[in-house]
Amino acid sequence: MDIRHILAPTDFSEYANRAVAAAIELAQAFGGKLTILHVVEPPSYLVDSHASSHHGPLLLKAMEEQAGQELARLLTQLPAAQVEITRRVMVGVPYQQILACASAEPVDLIVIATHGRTGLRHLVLGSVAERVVRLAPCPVLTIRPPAPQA
Amino acid sequence: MFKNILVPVDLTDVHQPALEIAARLAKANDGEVTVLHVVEVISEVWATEDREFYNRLERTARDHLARLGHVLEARAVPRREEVVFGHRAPEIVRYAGEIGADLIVLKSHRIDLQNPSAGWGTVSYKVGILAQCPVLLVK
Repeated sequence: MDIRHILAPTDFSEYANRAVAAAIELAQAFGGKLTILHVVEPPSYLVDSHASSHHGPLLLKAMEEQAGQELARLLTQLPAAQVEITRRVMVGVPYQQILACASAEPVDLIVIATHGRTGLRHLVLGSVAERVVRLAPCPVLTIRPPAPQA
Repeated sequence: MFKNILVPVDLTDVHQPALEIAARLAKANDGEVTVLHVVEVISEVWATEDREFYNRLERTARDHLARLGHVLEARAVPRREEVVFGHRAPEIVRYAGEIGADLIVLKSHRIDLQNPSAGWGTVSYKVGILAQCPVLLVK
């Protein structure tokens, strides 16, 4: 199987960004390209509130712009690589948008951290990574934080 | 980045994609691949009872691993073949820790989107949750 296109979602957590770094290495090893994705999850008060019809779109727009800037900044912090990298920002439920992106591109591999901002308590069921592992149409590489030193 | 790759397999012929991707990763990093089969034991006294039965299973498994190893041999990737006894998911995770594997590559099933919870009990899912190293699930 060829790995020509890798998708690396990040929530900008330390672990997620390690997964992005791993994805860059893999893309380089396989001669593939990479899409780095951040999903902006609308705050619940925007989804639930009836009073936010005016400010909601403005706030979301600002969140998207900030995410785009964060992605650009992230790339400057990672080791330089001869890899074609596309940055994407999507809005919605993270695991759903990751799967939608994986299907739409399409990608050959998703590289995702298992401990993002939702942390350990969602490790087994219900985390973004767990859902992506279970539902992705393509291979998924899960990257874990290093084991604590004894 | 991945030099010590573990590929757990059963005795079916569905593991070719996992072996191929493991071979490519190992080749890219001058690494090696260990192909592992866990003979599932059905009682805690398996080593003393039914020993001949488990010996036959081991011989069958080793023959199968030797055949699978040709994929790696064709790519000139250093390989090892191991047969161990136990319960599959915990034994795979334990063995990965024992050899210091930095990646586990294993075949995973495709999820039926009409019944997405059906895969929760599978070996690949358990390994994906429990392993202490990165896990690549190949569908």
